[in-house]
Amino acid sequence: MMLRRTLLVVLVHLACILLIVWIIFPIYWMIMVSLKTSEEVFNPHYIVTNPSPESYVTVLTQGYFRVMYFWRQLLNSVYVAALTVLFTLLVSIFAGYALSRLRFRGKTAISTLTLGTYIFPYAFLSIPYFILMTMLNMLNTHISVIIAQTIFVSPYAIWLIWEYSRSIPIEIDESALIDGAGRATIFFRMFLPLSLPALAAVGAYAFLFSWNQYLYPFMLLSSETDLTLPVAMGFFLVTDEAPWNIFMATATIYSVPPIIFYHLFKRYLIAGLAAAAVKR
Amino acid sequence: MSYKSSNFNPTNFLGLVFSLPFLIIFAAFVVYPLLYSAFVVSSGDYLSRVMNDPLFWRSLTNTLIYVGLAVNIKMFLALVLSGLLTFTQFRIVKVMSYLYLLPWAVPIIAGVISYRWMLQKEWGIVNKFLSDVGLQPVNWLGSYEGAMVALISFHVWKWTPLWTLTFYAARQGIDPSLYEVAKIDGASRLKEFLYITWPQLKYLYIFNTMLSTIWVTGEFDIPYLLTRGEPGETTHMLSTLGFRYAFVLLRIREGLSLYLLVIPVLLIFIIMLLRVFGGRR
Repeated sequence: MMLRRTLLVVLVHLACILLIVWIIFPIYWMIMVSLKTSEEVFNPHYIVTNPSPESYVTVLTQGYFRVMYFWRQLLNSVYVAALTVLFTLLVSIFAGYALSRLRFRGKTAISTLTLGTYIFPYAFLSIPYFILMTMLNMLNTHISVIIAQTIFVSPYAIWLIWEYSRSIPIEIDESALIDGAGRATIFFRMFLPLSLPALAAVGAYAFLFSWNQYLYPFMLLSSETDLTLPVAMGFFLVTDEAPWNIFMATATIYSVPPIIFYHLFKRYLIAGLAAAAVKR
Repeated sequence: MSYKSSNFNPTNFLGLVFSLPFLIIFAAFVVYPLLYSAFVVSSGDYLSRVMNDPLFWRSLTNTLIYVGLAVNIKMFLALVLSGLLTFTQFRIVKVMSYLYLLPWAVPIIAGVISYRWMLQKEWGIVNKFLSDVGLQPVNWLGSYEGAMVALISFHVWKWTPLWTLTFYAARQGIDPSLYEVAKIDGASRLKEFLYITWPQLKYLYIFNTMLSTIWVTGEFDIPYLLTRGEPGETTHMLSTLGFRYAFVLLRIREGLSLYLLVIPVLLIFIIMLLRVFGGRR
């Protein structure tokens, strides 16, 4: 029994170490290579002995042609993400409220539609969307990317708010109605403040979604100064030239905001996912 | 068709108005383009041209392999990992519970850039490690098998955390007294899993697997960025092949046809999923 117990402990530790190495390594390696000088890049050692800020300086001063518009493109990413968050909140707050609080014709249809859109893999909508944007003469505009992302984030956002607001007792609405408050007052004065945690989760989710997006901005944007950073980083992978330390530095910088964001909103994100998981 | 005025219900009206923003963008930017595309595709024999392309069948096979392996490996790993996080008190597990979500937070493009260089044939760290421990280096991204392994392993790396989290959350909802009773009865860990945990997680496991299957069928970023169909157009998925038709070969109608070919199949899956699990909500 004792032996079996020890064996189990050893096995669990071994499995954990392997898992941790596997989980961490790509991130560790990204940081390691980013700290190398351009001569050391082709020299694989597990640890960098004399880290150099060279590649970070190159990226931040836009000193290499692939990162010539680094700041501009980073700003584009921020702009697209911020507006995606804003639009998603606008769309999903109202729909989420309607689905959770109001009875109306077509409610079931709308909720099924929402879930269906959430499940649908949006890559398969890309070419039809591209054609529409061509017809509307909206190629090369950030708004085309923002609209697409809002559509794909909204279903989950609506659903999150809907789920969350079930925890807000309906009696609050009823007593307010009896006291003579209008629907609008209830919505703005009570529903919105009470669902702030859900809105935070939605905002964080929309931000992370937008920050991660590659396909739609890649397809819709083409002028170098309009690109979001992931699209520009995608072009790193097609060159024969390989200043990988610079690529890795860009990748590391781009990973920092989501990691911080994730950390700040962890509680809300997990709460949202947990609700999703348990309710299923 | 006339509604009596007494039928007018303010919440009825408000409900529709509040849902309108979503409905409008959905109709304008999803339904309309799809209908238009169906119209375009039906105006020529693009479908048969796609079906006659051997690359289409190759991509279909690749997608099936990728989805089949990546989704199932990931889900199984997520189930095991969530158990590890729930039941063990070792310090190392605490460390892991802090770290395991990192791949989820790191953007795909950043992860892929690191992965590509790790797997590089001559200077990559993975091959250096392999030769350090006395194994043959592998031509990861330069061979079909190597590239498929790279794709699947990257997918598992990136997406296991998310699903682990859902299982972890569901495990928190299992009544702990069940395990206490089992412990008193001297049940083994395996029995505990089979008779307490699995019955409670079964539906979630199946649901997650189906959902992920649908999503990964349409996954674009990982295959496109990691292999771009290379080497020699062998590792295309349906999503990347459609994109290639449309934007590399500039045969946008064939790309459209390919996507429209997949959509009905996916819709059947989606409706099935909603039917089976919709009632459980």
